[in-house]
Amino acid sequence: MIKVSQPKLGEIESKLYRLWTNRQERSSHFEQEAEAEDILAKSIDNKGVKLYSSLIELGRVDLMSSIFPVLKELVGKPFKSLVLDYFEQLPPNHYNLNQSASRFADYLLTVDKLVARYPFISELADYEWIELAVLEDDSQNLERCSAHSMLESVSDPERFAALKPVLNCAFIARRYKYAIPRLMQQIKDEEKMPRRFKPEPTCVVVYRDPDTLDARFLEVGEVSLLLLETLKTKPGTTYGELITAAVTNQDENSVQSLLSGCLEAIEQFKSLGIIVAEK
Amino acid sequence: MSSEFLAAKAKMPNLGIGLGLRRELATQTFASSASIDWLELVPENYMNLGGHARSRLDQAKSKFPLVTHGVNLSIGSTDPLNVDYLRSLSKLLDYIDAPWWSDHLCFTSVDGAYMHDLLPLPLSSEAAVHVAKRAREAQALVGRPLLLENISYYMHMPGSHVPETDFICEILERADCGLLLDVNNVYVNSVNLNFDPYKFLDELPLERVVQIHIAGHGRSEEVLIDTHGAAVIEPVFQLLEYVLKRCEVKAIMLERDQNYPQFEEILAELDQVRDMVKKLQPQMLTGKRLCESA
Repeated sequence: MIKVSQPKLGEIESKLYRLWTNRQERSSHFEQEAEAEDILAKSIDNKGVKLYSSLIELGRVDLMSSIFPVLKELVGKPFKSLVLDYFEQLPPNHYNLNQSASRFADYLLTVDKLVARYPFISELADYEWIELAVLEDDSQNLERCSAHSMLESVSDPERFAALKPVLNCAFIARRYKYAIPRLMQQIKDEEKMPRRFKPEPTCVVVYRDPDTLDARFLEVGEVSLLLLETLKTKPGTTYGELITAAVTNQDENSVQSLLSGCLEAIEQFKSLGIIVAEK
Repeated sequence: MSSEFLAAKAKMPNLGIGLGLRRELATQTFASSASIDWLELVPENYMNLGGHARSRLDQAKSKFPLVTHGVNLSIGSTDPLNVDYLRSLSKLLDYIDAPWWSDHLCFTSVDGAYMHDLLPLPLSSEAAVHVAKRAREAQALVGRPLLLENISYYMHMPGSHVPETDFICEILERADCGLLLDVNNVYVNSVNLNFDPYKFLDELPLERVVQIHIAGHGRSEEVLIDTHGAAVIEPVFQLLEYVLKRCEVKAIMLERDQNYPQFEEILAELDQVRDMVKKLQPQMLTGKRLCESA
């Protein structure tokens, strides 16, 4: 007589996890007749597996549709299968449901056919993802200083140069190869997509509005992005140091326009709540 | 058998009739603090999050007593307990000063992967011992009383060999924790699995019930599904009444997570529960609410 041992809890959970979440595993299970000694496979409730897998799939597709609505529009019908494959390749590793979507942009780089048709697709996914990342960022909700108090400081150049601007904590900067904000608008407007896409370097920042707590996007120039990146990586940098870094190694003719460009950008960052305070 | 949990239950506050804090209903919920005694929130939607979530949490805290009802403790998983999760949860519980916390008697993750769904456990002695050990550890780590909720489920799990009520009893007693009794889940399972819900309730350790959930459900082709997307039906109210006649409860909460009706309909359901509680367990309603309703 063959002695068979009862499946352990861990084996049961692992087996069902694979059946609930992996389409290939599920169809193999349904197609093959379980061997007599495989007690676990023989005792699986196939109807229940189908129901749970459909509930899990529904949840996954709903989640990704809500985070990547424009990408979904672009991809069309294959979006569902793309999402399910993503979850099979990179299963969620965090208790926060939304974090399940955090690696979608990386995953898309591995889908050769899609990248060949839409070379910007990973950047588009990233653009949609960072909105959520900024909205949920754990940093404290900042109340920005009044614009008046910051403007006053500009009237005294020496004092201004010594001030240390404070960057909005919920802030992300990106350099994209493609003009993602424009492409995104085209998709939303249901414009016909061209057959080929030319790279068009674009700098974007996204930040959480200190007043409304909504995410705001802003396209910026290279110098503006450098200023903000410096503030992010080196908190405590003064305006003087920021501007000096921006104009260093520039020819004399462009220094003046660069300088005024920097000052304008700083004013804009303050009014938008990207720079929230000065110390 | 002496129970620290039962001693603790006696000292827990009576919260009354509450509602789940949902983003979509938050504004109306905050505006209705006169009709809602307390709020239950899903901690995963607030742990380590800023922005609107934090702002909503702060508003809720300023107006209501709060408790958490988690979805990813994954108490039945064979993975190690997620200590980072429990630390973040503890921080949140400290912030809102919750009198207890709860999660589901299920598993939601295995082999390091989260499924973000409440998945049933095999009804076995092995699973019961395993869950009880983890529940005891989690409760000790968090330092506040833990309640586990009976879930609705839609498949027979391999390895099951004990009745569900025995399974629940063994876990709660071994872990010395409480029961969050979801009467809608009892109803849904009783229809899908064809058992008597009243007999099921009789076999539960009702003395460990601290909080009750009521909710509506939907119907798929073959089974009832616990959607929290419809009004509570009369048989579920009857189960609630049956329990309230048999054990002291500290709080009742209406779950509504989708297919939202006019907010007045939600408030009317809460009033219906309040009327029942006034008759059967007036001590559950806070002094303020009793005075108002007198």
